[in-house]
Amino acid sequence: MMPPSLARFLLRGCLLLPAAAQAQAQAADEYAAKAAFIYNIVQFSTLPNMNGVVRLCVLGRDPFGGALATLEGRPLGNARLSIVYPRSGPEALMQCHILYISASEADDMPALADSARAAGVLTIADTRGAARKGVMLELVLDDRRIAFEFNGAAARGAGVVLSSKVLRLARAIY
Amino acid sequence: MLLNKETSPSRHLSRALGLLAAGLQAGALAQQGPDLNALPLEQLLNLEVVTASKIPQKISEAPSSVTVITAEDIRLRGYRTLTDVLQSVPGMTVSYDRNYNYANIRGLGNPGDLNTRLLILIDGRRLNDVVYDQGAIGTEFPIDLALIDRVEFVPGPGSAIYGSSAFFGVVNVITKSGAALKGQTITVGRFTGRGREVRNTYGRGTPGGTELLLGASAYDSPGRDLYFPEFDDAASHGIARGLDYDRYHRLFAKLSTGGIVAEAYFGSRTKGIPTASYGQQFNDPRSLSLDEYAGAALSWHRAVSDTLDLFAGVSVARYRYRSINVTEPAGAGTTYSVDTATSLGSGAEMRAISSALPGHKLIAGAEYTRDSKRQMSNYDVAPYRLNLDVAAPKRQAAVYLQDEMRLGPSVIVNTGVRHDYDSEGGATTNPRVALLYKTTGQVSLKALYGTAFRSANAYERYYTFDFRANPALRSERIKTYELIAEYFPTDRFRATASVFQYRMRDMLALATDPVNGMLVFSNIDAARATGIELEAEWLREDGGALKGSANVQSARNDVDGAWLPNSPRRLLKLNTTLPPLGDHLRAYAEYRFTSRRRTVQGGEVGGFGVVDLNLVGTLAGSHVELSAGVLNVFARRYADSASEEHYDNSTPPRRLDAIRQDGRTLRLMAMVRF
Repeated sequence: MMPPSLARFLLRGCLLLPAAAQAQAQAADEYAAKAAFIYNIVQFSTLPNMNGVVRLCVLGRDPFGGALATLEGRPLGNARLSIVYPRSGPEALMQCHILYISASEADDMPALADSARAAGVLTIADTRGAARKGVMLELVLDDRRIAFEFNGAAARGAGVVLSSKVLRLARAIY
Repeated sequence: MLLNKETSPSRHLSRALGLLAAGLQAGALAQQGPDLNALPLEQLLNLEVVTASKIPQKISEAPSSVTVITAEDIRLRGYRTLTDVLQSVPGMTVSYDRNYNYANIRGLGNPGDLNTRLLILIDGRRLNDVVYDQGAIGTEFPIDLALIDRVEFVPGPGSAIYGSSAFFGVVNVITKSGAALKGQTITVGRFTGRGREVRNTYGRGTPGGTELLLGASAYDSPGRDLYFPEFDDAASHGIARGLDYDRYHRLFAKLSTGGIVAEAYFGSRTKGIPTASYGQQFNDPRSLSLDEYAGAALSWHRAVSDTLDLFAGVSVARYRYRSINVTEPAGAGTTYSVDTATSLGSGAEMRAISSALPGHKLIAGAEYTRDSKRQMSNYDVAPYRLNLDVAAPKRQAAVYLQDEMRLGPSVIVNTGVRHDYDSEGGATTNPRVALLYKTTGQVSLKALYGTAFRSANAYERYYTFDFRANPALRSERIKTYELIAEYFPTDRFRATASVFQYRMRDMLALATDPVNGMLVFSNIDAARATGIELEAEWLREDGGALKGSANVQSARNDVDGAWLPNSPRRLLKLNTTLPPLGDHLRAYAEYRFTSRRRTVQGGEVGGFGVVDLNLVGTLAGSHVELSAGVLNVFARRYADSASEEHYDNSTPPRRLDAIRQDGRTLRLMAMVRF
């Protein structure tokens, strides 16, 4: 049995440690890195229907927290990026240039990917197997690093062109 | 002993809230990193990221309220037994009689019933044996927690999917893949009561997808001397000396390649019996129980097309039990008696999952099990005398069908039905219906209905040493109704409120035979539990997490209206994982309050709140990991109800009413990763 004073000491230790330890640097948050990755990759893409504003939409439950807000208004060539949260798939296809399909919409993903291809919208998801199901860009975590897979057939169908500089970094191309 | 004393939870609660506040304050101090948006692509791809925790969507759409405890939870919280895991689950309490652990789910679960109404699965396969139906959740559970990827708990009836024993709930333990381990680890542990543990794990995956996982562990705790006031006399002073020892060893192996998985486990535990249960001589050093589980399975899974998955498997499982019962004082008459049980079952199953029909996800399956060995015996050692020897092999078969039907964007109807045939208990059909309605995106409503059964086990039907056999016992039945409202606005926050009612009939209980006055199991009891369960969890962006749940419930016997033994009316659980304390340190705190409970003897044990803490630190580039835990930090004195079997060989027998639980205990684990 441990003396009570030792237990209290350990307990106090727990409470005081966080503040001191926070001074150290941390690795990047997953979704901050994924938001940055999306912004980066879009800079190397040619999207149909662009005119001054490029709308990046999040369909479903938003996993980015505050990370996407840092992209609002950022330049993309001559256009500016705007973040939009459509309420349904059809609404998204009417107004978006880039559509991030959240994991909460995974069941509708193949259908959404098909209609997005027809509507000329770049689709992005980070649900496992998304690229195989027709989503153009799938973000994956591979040993704590971001990697991506690309569905070239879907992108061609939508008229989305990704620079070869980016494509050679893809983990898999379908 | 501090019985009949209800403690207000407020004092412990304020302490727990203090811990939570500290965690949040730490989170608020988290720094902003550099502007990631300005990094070039190549650098972004090389950046090490902290994986965001997400509450899986599946949990929200499941036709029940599922709780998942992950490998990371187990690591950060320092959990060592399935009991540790289950105690953090909303609505669940676990009591301990210094031999086995007994789960109580939403107010239901007798002390001493060996969890016969809780189905334990290892990678989807039944662990409950076919002699006692025992659900192993203590140190006798054969899989080391370091090899577990996640534990899923589903409260409520699961017979529509899993058949018998899925009565109050289902615990599915899913083991890790070989690739998840990435090499070898050696762990040593030290625990209060001079306990020691050694564990060796190895895991490896090839690029071709072949994975191997191996694990071996051994634990030995001499335990502490225990005081039982009921047994306090001139001879023993009520102290059981050196009888709380607990020893186990476990082995596990899993090999998978191209959709084929072969796995095998073995676990053997020896536990001293300090409570003189079943009329034994108190404080005799020979009393012990041995529980040994062994199993092997081979399964095959293949995605035949985008819309069709096929699964097939064969498995074999063995359980052996042996207990030494010393009923006479040392030197007098019979030396001791030995009680044994052997259960050996082998089975085959197949399952098809199809989403070919738009809007439907269909699962169809069939199972066959042959319990070739189902044997109990009891004999005196010297002079040898056979008191009981029964063998009752049996066969079981089942077919089931489930459909997850999407009616438009906001309604999911989940239906399932399973038909079981049991060569002993006959045929039974159990349905399940879940209606899920998603309102405006963030709120869902669920209505659940289901039934379940438990086929009377060999012990209840055939054990005749002390009582009369009753082979004609019917299965126990339960019907449950539940309404759930869920608020799930982001991937990181979820809150649910649930109202439930469980109604049981044909429950087995001991009655006295009017003809010969012997005890006999009969389908005479009925009971119901009604309650509310509230739960919320918040996974913070800084890596911290906060979870809480509260239950208000009432479980009564329908025959006489009595409050069921071991059934708490209020539960409160709070736990928090602090944000990472730098790169190398994590801290976890857990608070559990259980209100007063009736004991089997008609007394009461007081309510109590317990705080557990755990710290995990890594050194030398994560090659060394240290985990230190303090359980019951404030050394709260509390007791669990004893059960009918806790009486000694005195005339008249001295019965235990309550069994005192551990005060403050420490555990230290050090792991080296090669």
